[in-house]
Amino acid sequence: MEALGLDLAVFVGQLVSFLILLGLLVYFGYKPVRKMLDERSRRIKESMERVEATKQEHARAQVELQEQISEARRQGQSIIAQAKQEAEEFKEKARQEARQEAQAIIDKTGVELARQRDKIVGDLRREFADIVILAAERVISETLDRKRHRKLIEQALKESATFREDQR
Amino acid sequence: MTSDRGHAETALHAQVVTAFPLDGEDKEWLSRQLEELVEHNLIIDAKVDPSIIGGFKAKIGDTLIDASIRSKLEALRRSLVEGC
Repeated sequence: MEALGLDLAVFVGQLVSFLILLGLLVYFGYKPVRKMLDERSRRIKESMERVEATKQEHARAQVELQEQISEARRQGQSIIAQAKQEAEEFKEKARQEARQEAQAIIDKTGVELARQRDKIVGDLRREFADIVILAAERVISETLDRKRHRKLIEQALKESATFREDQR
Repeated sequence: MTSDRGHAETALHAQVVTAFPLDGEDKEWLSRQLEELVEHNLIIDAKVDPSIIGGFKAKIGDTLIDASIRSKLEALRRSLVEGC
């Protein structure tokens, strides 16, 4: 010991002091440190659990969100399909109404045209008849003398007699 | 009893319308013709209406004989208007 430059008494004293200090440290320092470490460990564990719970909550939220998006997409597609169908039905109904109205106009126009044509034809026939009768009256009046007039009466009497014979 | 023409003696009144005035000969002739037609004696009441143009109209009792040119032309007008 002396060769190493150590004094045994001092060494023993220091060793005893170290052991006493170590004992004091163990006695007074270990428990609080342990307690602090346990507390910290608990907090970390709780934090980890919260993180895990948050992760699971987030995952659930993601799934729900995805489901909601899918549902919204389905509803949107359904609404679009229904709107398309209603639009087609509306267009078809409008087409049919337009077709019916056009047909009604055509029919009405046809009837009106036929009526006007009949009226024009009737008017022309009447005018033509008036002209023919007027011309015949003039020709007959200008060419009818007493002799021809008597012949006319004879002819009319013959026709009347023939008619009377036919009636018997 | 019968008349000299062999018809019933009771005479009927006949209103005769012509376009030209009838002289005595024409009136007698037309009277005979009408009496033959209706087989009856007639008392003729002759009138002139130029609007009938020609021929004659005779109303004997309830019978109307319309043999005028006007009626024939009206019939022609009707057939022309009706398109027959």
